[in-house]
Amino acid sequence: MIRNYITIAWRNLLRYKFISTINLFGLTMGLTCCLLIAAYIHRELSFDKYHKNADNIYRLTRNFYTQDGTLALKLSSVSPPFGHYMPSEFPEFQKMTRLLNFPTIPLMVGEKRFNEAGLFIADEFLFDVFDVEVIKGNPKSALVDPYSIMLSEEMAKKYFGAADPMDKSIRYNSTFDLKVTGVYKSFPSNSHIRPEMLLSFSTLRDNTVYGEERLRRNWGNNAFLTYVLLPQGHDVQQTINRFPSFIDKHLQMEYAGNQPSKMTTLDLQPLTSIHLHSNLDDEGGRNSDIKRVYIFSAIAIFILLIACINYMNLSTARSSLRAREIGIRKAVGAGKKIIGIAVFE
Amino acid sequence: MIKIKDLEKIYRTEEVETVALNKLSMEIKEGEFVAIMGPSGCGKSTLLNILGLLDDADAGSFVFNNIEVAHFNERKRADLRKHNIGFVFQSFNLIDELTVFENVELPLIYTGVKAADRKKRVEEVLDKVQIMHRRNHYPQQLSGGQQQRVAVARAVVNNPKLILADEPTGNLDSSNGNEVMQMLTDLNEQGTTIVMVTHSEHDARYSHRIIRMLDGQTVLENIMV
Repeated sequence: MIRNYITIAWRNLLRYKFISTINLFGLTMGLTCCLLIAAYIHRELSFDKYHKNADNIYRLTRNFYTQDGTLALKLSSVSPPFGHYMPSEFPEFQKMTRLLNFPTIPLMVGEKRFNEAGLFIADEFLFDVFDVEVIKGNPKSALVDPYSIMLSEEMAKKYFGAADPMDKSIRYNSTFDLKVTGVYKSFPSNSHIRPEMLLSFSTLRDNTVYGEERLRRNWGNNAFLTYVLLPQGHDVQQTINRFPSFIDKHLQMEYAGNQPSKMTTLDLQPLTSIHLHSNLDDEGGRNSDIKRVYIFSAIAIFILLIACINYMNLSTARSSLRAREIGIRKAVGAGKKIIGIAVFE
Repeated sequence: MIKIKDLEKIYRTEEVETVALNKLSMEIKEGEFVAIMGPSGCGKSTLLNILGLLDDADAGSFVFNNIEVAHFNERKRADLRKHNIGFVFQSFNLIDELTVFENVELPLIYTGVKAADRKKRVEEVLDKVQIMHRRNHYPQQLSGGQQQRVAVARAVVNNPKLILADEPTGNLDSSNGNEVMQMLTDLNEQGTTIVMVTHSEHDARYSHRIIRMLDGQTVLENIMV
């Protein structure tokens, strides 16, 4: 039966080539646009959701206020002492990881020189918080020792080709050598951060690089992307409510004469809302906007509606021909359901 | 085979009511060849549509093969129709996008006959109406007479008990018309009941009985001897 309908549909298509072409082209264009937009929207909504703990990961953000209480600066990153002191005072931070995005730096691999932008400093807890597939090396130890570096698969291939990159050396900015301790699968395109290289955080403890003292005392260098993993079902607001007392306790020196928690605040931003809902300064990557998703959704619906109306208009114009056929089908034995299929076809 | 009693059918629009069948009663026995005649608008085609279960009456009784079918739902009507009734129309009503073979095959598809059996039965019936050589042609490629032969083939392919013909020769010249009438006569002689609506006295003479209608009622019955 279906074969019979397909036969008729196909012959109709050939018989009314021009109108069928217009009709199908319009519908195809409409559906194609809709599907493309749907794919775009699906991608936008999927950002950072691939981590198994995605719903429990938060980014620590920091706001700054002027003396009169006006919000002056919203930062997506915080200074290193927060990461140093907070875990002991906030036991609900099951895991914390910090990343520091480096500007473009020159790297030497053998005699070859590369200017790379995707270098991040990261601690070994990165793999406890985020889902990153490590292809070579041990994720527990690869970022523990100073001057260790992990490469994405693409970078490993770029620098070392088919050769095994493990334990190979990369010269950093003509100052020190880094040892390759691991290779990981690149962060997917729907991740708000996409490090191509991970340099061990312990490297920063070296005084010639940054220094342990500065990691504990420099409350002003708000460049460290800091992510925490909270327990499932944890009341986030309850944690946020305790931030002011932490700030007042630790930042007295920084805001002498003022109450520190009036001058600066901390916030916890859900990982899955960063891409579409966060527009802070100093973001780890380029973000989008939920408004775009709404606008494109409306456009998709509008296009689909126009395509359908167009199709219906053109089909209605030919419906008298179909009505005759349906009458004939009824007379030769078609039931309601089968006639329904013919109308649909 | 057919017994109708006090059948009523009224077409209503916002402004007018048209009585198509006015308490019409009649009986048609199995194996009969009945011609229904009357002026345009007297309710002939309405009656044929109701007999063919394509339309339902507003009131009255319709017994088909000893079963009251007046209140059948659409599913039951379709089921009864596809197994028992064949139609022949004035304007042939073949589906333009289907070949001769496919048009005749259609009723068999609806009755669920398997493809191999369908092929055999369609070829048999096409052979019988002498249109086999045109089996792969489309309706537009055939003459009126040929198209009506295909329509007759389609009507009989399921071996229906009843054939309803609505002015089957109306669009044909006399030669082709006679051929079609002879086909219907042959079918009747093989046991098929035929109810034919016609304006042609000549065609009506092929029947056993002529029922003349006026304003939705039977006004005269002629038994043909």
